Amino acid sequence: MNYPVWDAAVGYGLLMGAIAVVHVFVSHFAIGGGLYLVVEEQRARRRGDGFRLEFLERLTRFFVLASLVFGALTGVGIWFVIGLLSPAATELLIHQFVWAWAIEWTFFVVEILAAILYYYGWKRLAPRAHLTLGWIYFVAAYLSLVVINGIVAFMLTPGKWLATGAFWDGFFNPTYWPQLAFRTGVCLLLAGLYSLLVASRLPTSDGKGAIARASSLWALGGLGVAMAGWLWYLRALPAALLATARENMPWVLTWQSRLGLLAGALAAAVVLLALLPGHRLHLAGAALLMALGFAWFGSFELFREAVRKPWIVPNTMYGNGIEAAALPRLQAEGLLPAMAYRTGNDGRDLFLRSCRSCHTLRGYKALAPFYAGTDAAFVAGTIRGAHRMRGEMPPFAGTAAESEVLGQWLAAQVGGKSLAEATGLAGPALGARSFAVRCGTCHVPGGRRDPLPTLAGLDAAALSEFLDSAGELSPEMPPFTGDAIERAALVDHLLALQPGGAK
Amino acid sequence: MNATAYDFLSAPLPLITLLHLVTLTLHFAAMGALFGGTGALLLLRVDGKWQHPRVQAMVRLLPTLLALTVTLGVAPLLFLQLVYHRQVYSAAIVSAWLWLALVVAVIVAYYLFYAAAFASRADRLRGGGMLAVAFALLLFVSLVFSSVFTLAETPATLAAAWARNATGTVLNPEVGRWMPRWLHLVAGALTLGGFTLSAFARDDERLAAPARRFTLAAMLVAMVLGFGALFGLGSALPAFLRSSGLWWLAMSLLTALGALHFLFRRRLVAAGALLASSLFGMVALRHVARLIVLGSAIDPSAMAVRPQWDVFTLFLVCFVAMLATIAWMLRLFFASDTTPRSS
Repeated sequence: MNYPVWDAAVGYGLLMGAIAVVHVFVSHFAIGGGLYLVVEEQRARRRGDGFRLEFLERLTRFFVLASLVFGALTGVGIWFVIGLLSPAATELLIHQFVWAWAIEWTFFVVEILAAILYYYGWKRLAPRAHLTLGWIYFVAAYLSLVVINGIVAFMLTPGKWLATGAFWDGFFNPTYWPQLAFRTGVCLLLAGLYSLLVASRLPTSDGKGAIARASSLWALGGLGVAMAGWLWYLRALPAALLATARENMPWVLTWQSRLGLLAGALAAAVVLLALLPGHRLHLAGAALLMALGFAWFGSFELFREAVRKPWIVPNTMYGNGIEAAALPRLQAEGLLPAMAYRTGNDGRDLFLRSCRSCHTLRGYKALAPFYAGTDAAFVAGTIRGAHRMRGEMPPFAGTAAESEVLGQWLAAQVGGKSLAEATGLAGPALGARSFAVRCGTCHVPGGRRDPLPTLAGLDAAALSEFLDSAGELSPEMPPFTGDAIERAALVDHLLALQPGGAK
Repeated sequence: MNATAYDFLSAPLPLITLLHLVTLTLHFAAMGALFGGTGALLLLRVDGKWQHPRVQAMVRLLPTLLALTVTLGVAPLLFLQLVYHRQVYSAAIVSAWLWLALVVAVIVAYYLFYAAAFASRADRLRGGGMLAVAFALLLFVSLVFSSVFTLAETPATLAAAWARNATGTVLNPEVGRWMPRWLHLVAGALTLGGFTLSAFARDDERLAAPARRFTLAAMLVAMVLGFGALFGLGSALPAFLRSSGLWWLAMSLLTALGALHFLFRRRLVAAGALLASSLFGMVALRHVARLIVLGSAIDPSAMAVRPQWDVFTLFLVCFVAMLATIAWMLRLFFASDTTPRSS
């Protein structure tokens, strides 16, 4: 309400996802890699393994360039991007957790300096001093995860904070420990995978094989810890959250199972690599492992984001930045008067404030193609019933009159053609499309809000009559406003859906 | 206030302001050494410059300085957001693509600094091409920062700019107001950069003397532009002249001149201390000016305070531990034998 909305030609989710996933993939390596370096250095020094020490020095250079430059700056990038995409939520987090961030900053400063000194210290410092700096680096880096993990977990499971508003209740929330366990495993896994990548560039030798085997063990160990953490995490998630996701966003659960499959594939690949003699470790194989790891970890982050819908902080703030506590007032008094930034076009302002955080008009999760062939009355009806739709939408935070204004504006963007004209469809295809647009966003035959029992036994005339009265069944049910061609096609489709109908 | 209300400060405003001013001064000092130092290296005319051992030593330090600048920039941004979140986020949204491009620019500049440092280490640094590109990228970063933060101070301009174009591709339209401030900041950074280079070259007058002259010239330009930036305050200028900002201005000018005096007498510690004081004065001045320009748009002292003293105490403990660890690590590193060891 207090912020303008960035009307970029890009999906918010896509932009956030891209920056966040890339960042965490590097930043978790920055932690696990630190441990890998000191543990392996200690081991190599004990054995007097010069080849391994040379490799570790090489890995440090890669490590510094990847984590200090790319990892640290994409972390800053996340800060920048969340302020653009969800300024209200960022405001909430900053106010609630500013000292947590300040604490994390102290670890960050130590981490950066220790990494630089560790890197430049390879040729300058005595082994003991060098290892000490390495351990300082790792401890500082891990502590920064310990802190940030609390804030990230809070955004999905604020727990008792909802009742108390107390810092520690929000920080040590229900998914804090399982997520920390999971991410710790990921750090170790990525340490192994990145090391394999760097080792793949080494000349073929026995030493290379030994490094590949050691790195594979790190990856496998990390994967094991991460999978245990993942199962713990699933158990810690509120049952209602998962149940809602299962009902309204089954694809989220599909991601969850893909996560398991990817983890299995990753484990198999790593085991295979560990068994192969060193000279078989090629850049392509190591890069493939990295890609698998990226997809696997990315899936987790996407799952975490998706399952949170429609909230950005459950029971506190919706994904579009509207506070749950303000909803009744906004629905009574209106959204437009509460908006600090206005373009002068009420319909567009309502779209930007209510929809733009997830949808674009003609791009990512586009509304224009979806509404093509419908009209203002229907669009306004769907807006009023947005929270009933599949995909977990927040409720419209405006008055009924404002839903009409937004409906008219959106309808004006799609051209005012009939569904048949807009889509070029006819017959059963037109009926199926009409059902998908007008009914399917809330009703799934044989599934969620199953329409079939209500429609059972109705003939074509009764179904047509039902369509006329649909808008009166509930204020959240939009009226049927299609033309005669669409009506006939939809009725045929509904008849076909009934038991014994022509599918 | 209900439990989940978040419009509060988790420590008293003076404490947050102090933390912001101190950390911002440190950020500007690091930024001046990096950005201004790169500028000084590029602009200074000395024969065989890139082969000079002190120049090479400074080039090798640039990636570390960038890491320091970024790291020290996180804290002031955090404390700034705590109080001025509505102004800062809103202004950033108006320039969203440029705001995001900053991150890309800094990443590329960072890699270029590393490339130059590696080249210097291998004695292959023949010119300032990479550094010139990195400098240009940082110049872009400073331009966007100046535009966004000045736009954040003028809510009416901000709202009008967004209403005209919400795609995130707009700079502050009041160019006359922020351009002198931006140029002043650039000249200020060059002053700090010149000082850094003179400190690096303290044993070699062939480099140190021109570096001192460079510092003097940059400081004079910064002063002139600084007055231009003050006049850019427009109708807020009389209020500024009646505020504590005037004292900060006088203090900054005097300490800056004192720094020059000691610099030319080659007393670098005294010069550095006075320069740091001058920088703090400028940061405080900037803060006072911001409050005056924002006027009735925001009154930070009216914000609710709900202190989190337990977490703050933990922060203080960590902060002290951080300083101790840094001191210990630096001592360990620099006390060691500088002869390269074989691993």
